[in-house]
Amino acid sequence: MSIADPKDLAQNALKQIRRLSDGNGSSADSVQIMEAKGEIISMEALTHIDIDIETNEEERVGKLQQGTFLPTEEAMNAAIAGAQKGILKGNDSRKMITEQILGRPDKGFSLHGKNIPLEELKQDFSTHAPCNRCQGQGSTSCGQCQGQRQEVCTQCRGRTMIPCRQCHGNGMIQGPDGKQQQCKFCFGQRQVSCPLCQKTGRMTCRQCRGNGNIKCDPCKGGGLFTKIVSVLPVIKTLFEMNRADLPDGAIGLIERSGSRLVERDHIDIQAEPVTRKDGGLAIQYQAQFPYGKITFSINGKPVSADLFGNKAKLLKLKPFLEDLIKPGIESLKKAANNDGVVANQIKKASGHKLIGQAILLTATMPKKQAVMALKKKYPLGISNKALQSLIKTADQAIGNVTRRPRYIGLAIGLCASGVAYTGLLLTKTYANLAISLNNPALEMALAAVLIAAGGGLTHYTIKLTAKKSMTHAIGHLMKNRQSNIPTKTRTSGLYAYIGAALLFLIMVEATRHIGTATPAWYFLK
Amino acid sequence: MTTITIPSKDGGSFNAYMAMPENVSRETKVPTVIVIQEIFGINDGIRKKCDWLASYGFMAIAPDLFWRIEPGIELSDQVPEELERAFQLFGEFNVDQGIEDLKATLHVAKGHANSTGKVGVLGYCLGGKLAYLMACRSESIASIGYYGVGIEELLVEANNISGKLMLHIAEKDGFVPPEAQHKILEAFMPNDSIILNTYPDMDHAFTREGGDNYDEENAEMADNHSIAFLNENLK
Ligand SMILES: [Zn+2]
Ligand SMILES: [Zn+2]
Ligand SMILES: [Zn+2]
Ligand SMILES: [Zn+2]
Repeated sequence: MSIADPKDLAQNALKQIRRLSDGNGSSADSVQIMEAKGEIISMEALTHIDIDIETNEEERVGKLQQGTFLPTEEAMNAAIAGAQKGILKGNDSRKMITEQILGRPDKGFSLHGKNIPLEELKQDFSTHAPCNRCQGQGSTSCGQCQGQRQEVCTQCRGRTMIPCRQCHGNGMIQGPDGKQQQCKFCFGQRQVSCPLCQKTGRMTCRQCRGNGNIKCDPCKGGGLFTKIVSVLPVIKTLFEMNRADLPDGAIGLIERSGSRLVERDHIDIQAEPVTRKDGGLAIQYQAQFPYGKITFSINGKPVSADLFGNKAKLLKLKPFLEDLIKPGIESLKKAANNDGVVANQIKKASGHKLIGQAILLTATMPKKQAVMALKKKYPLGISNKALQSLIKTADQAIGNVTRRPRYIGLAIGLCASGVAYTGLLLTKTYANLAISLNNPALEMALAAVLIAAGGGLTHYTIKLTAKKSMTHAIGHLMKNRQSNIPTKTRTSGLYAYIGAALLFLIMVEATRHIGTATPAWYFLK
Repeated sequence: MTTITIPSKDGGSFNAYMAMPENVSRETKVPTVIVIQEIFGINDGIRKKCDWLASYGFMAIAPDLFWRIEPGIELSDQVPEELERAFQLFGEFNVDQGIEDLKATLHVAKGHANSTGKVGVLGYCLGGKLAYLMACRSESIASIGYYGVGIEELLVEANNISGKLMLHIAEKDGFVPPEAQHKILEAFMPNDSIILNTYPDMDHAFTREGGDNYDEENAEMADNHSIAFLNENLK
């Protein structure tokens, strides 16, 4: 690593600005450097490294063993306390932690408020503990019968007799002659012996099936739990830098993405592990990077920015592209508002490369994705807000280009579907089909297929007609790839399927009046 | 019965208790057994084990393996606070560094004026595991582990055993659940250089005199096995 030559940095920056403005109301030659000056800035920084120990307790059913096994919970807790102490003051853990941090691509630079678990130093301890519920027995006395193995009969509730069902407990019943006579089942006793408990009033406990005990649920009958405690050291970092003498543009950038700046060589650092006054660990850094101010002349107007790092990152650059493409935006807005011939306005707007790309991206992908893709191409010189509004306007403009053709396509597609449905339903064809299917469910499936086919056909005709108009409006942006112009069908795509379904139902209803075969499902409720 | 100082690999030094057989003159050469401590440090129990080995004609050395945490630790399993401290030390102890210190001890033992150059190790509990690891990682000719803890986690290392290994396993060891014992037996049974002795109904530390689980009869049996093993491989 070495610090880049300031002259090269200025040239690099110029290249970036030329690439952005070329074709956007400006040409490479009309972008020049007016003034550039810079210096190498040195700074000191420190990443504090503190070790925190996380313990994770887990209780598992059964007799298991994980890591160091200890016979009692007290012994395990003592061993865990010892392990924590060992990690906190052990030389090898300190060494491992320093190595881990220095081994990162960013060497820990600007690592603030990060928690890094040290899996290599993780230790597990386990011990067995008897189940509290069953005292390690694996089973508990049945709650339903209190261990008695029997419970009260559910039929007679322990009364041994139940009311006679024949006479509803009246003892009398209406005879064939209409007169009341004694019930023949209970012999006028109004009740009969309970058939479920054979007159004992008790029955085998349903909960324990007469066992008196039931398997303990928490320990699944094993009587034992295994307590597993994991001890995991976690590095906690705190980044501190000397802000004095730093340009304010650099401070925020380093705080936000210092680690990426180091990784990608925007800045150079020397890292060295040190012991803090309080005995803690830290990594000390000496960082260096070029920083300067540059002013470009774009179409004769001055545009200035800060120049940061070995790769000439441009900071504080005002959105100069927004001015450059203003005339194009006006045309695009007209297209979006249906002002004048839309296709011509779009053509005019896409004379600016940036707008042309926005239109193309909007035509091919969802709006959010299009914004991201455009941002990638134009990371500088235009605000996010402007990019979003540009994509939104482009979307409206494209919608206008295809609106009329889409509805023409919808009409054509639905007409064709209608003709097909007529040919099927209003002739004998459907009757023959229905006979061979001989099943309302299959007929219904057939209806679904037919509707889908009609909708699909219409969807296709919409695409076809929309594509033609799109080719006319934006084909010039695509360089010999006219055939691949993608078109969004928008809501008309949905109408295609709804329309096909409605048409089909109308035809089905028509069959009843005309007298051809009506699908069987049409009469089902 | 003396204390010697052993230099560690990384520049420090630690003490070790040493017991010599009787009547050893300047010219006498004897084999060495390194006694590896439990989690209680170099206490009376460990010193007695050294003396016992010396009575059978071995130079016995017990290095203070907790010296990196705190030198000179001597604890008893009969005092609850000391027992808790012992488990803390167990958690804090770094096994890999412990092995380095044992290797340093082995190096010193080999070069001792009275040494035949044949060195074995014998360890209890935590030391039992370290004895196993010494068999795997060092030039120890004969290694003995009494109720070693955590060996089942280190089975793959057994591929590197060059000398002989004897393990005394307590079948009711509270530190080594049956599943762990099963793993050890399954892995080591087919290995000719490993001798496995298991003791039914014995719990952890059944040879620690004065301990809760001490069993005189089984302790004597295990010790007899050990002496025979050491005589065969070191003399
Ligand atoms: Zn239970
Ligand atoms: Zn029951
Ligand atoms: Zn009745
Ligand atoms: Zn009943």
